[in-house]
Amino acid sequence: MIRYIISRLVIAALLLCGLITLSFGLVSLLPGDPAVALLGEYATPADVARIHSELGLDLPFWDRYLGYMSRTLSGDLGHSLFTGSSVSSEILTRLPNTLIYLVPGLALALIVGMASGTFAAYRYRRFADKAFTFWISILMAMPEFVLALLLLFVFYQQLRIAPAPIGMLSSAQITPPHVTGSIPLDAIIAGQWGTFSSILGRAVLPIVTMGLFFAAPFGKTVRSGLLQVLQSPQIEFARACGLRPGQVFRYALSDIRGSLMTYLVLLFAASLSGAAIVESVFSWPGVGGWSLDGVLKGDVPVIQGFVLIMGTTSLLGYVILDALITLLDPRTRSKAVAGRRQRRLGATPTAIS
Amino acid sequence: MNKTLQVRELETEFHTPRGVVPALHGVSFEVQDNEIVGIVGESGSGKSTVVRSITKLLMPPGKVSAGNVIFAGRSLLDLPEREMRQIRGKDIGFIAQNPFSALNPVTRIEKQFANIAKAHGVKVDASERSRALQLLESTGVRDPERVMRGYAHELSGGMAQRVVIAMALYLNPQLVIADEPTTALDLTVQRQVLDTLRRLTIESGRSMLIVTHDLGVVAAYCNRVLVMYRGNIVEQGPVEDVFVRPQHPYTISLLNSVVRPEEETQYVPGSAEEADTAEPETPDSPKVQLSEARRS
Repeated sequence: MIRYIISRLVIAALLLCGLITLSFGLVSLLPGDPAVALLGEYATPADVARIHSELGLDLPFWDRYLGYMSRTLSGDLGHSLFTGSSVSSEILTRLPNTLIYLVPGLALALIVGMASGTFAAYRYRRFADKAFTFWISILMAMPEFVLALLLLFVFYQQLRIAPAPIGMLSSAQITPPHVTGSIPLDAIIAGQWGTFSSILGRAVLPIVTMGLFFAAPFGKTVRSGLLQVLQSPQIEFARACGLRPGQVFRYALSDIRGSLMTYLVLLFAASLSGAAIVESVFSWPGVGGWSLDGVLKGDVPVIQGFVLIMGTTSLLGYVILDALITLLDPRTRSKAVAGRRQRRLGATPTAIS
Repeated sequence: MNKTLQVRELETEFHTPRGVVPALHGVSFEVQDNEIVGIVGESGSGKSTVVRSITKLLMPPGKVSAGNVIFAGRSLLDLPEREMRQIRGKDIGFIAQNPFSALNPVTRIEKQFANIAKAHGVKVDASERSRALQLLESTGVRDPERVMRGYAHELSGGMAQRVVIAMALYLNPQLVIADEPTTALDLTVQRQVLDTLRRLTIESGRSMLIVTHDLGVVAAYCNRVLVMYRGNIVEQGPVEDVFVRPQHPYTISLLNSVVRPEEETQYVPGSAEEADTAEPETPDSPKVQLSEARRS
């Protein structure tokens, strides 16, 4: 089993190198010269040449590539062309801000999607199922910023129970002393629970936005998966053995958990890019809004940093998912573990005939 | 002799978007104590629908619309699902067609036995486990201890079906319903599994209702036979009577599609393999005779 996990990690490492290469290629793929983006249209050739040498753009290809690779692997993602701040430290301070609403948002999507999808599947073609399908279609047709604005309209403007979408902290709150640079983490470290709970309060609407937005496709997947499995001979036999409804549901769930987990990781990867829109609406100081800004300005190191962080997170998600699915299912587990052993010892398969 | 199961005028229909399609038109039959009854008929004749209507395992859009099912003095169609669930698995065992699609692939066999016990309020302890082991052994499972600790995919088809049979018999049901129990198995294994099934049924005084399209199985293993055609039981009676002196045109056509008159000896027990070869229909085939007989 350890061998299997190591083999997955090796593949992940290779993919990571590919990702870095891709991110390096972005510089040459993107239209425009970074020096021109920085200096404006009327820069003199001398200025452009100076910026080129500052950014290392005048070096030979392999020097630039290997330099980028080694710098990235050592954690140095370069500096923003415009603000000059370190991309790695920006990401480190902003990523917790994104995760603080993204993870609960996805958890909400998981719970809501699971519950509603299950309910609809058990009430197939009855009123509850039809109502579910109707609302899912509406939610799925709605872009996340419309959903966010709608929630703001209802809960901020009309009901006045949600805070204004002006970021994570209001000006009235004291900024916690600088330790890690991440405000939520610093607030916890400093024990400023008032500040921390205020951050959580402001995160509620982004969480609900993400939760509803991703609950729709997830619920739909749960419903169709369950519908299929509830008709299967396996579930019929379970019912014919007189198993309790709860036990039958667990059997059904164990059959579709692989596809549900896969879909959840897909949603997580999608939510990282969706974060840019939601963060712009709520002026949230996370990685999403920051990277969107970088894209619009043509700030190459920022774009590269965002691509890397998104790619690495998704990659990590897929590696964990792959290992989990393989190891949770006894059919693939025995192959992943025993297959390797057999190849080494040249032994015959040990199935009972 | 007492009646284990009585089915009266059972009518089942399927509610499709295009309207109501009747699947059973008033099916009546009974299963006596310690008797093996076979249901034969072609695909779509309603064999499986009968079985699922009795056990109330019919999935929507299927629906029982009329009739009566009396099992052990209780009217099953009137029971709420909660009580019906307690009958399934405990009083009526069910053997599925394909063991690999019926067994839970990600749960150990012993855990699946334990789940059945738990569902019926039986305490799961060492003696329960050894009872399951004995049952596996009596169904002919080799190395039952190892099978118990393993998963379904580690078994061969015959072994897996024996595990399914052991699960169906685990809580000692009076009636066993087998839906094409050997269709998914090799011919050589079919016989062994059916022999086991018959032994376990008759020895413990149970009854069995066995659905099959294999006339050889009926001839070799059943006491009585029901012949189904288009949602009706067109003929029923002791196997010898029905097979030697069939009355209904469909039964005649069904028998003719398998054997020629001079080869009657094929129906003696032990020739289950050859019975499954159906000939293609010809214009003067017995089915056409049947439709003419119905018209007149």
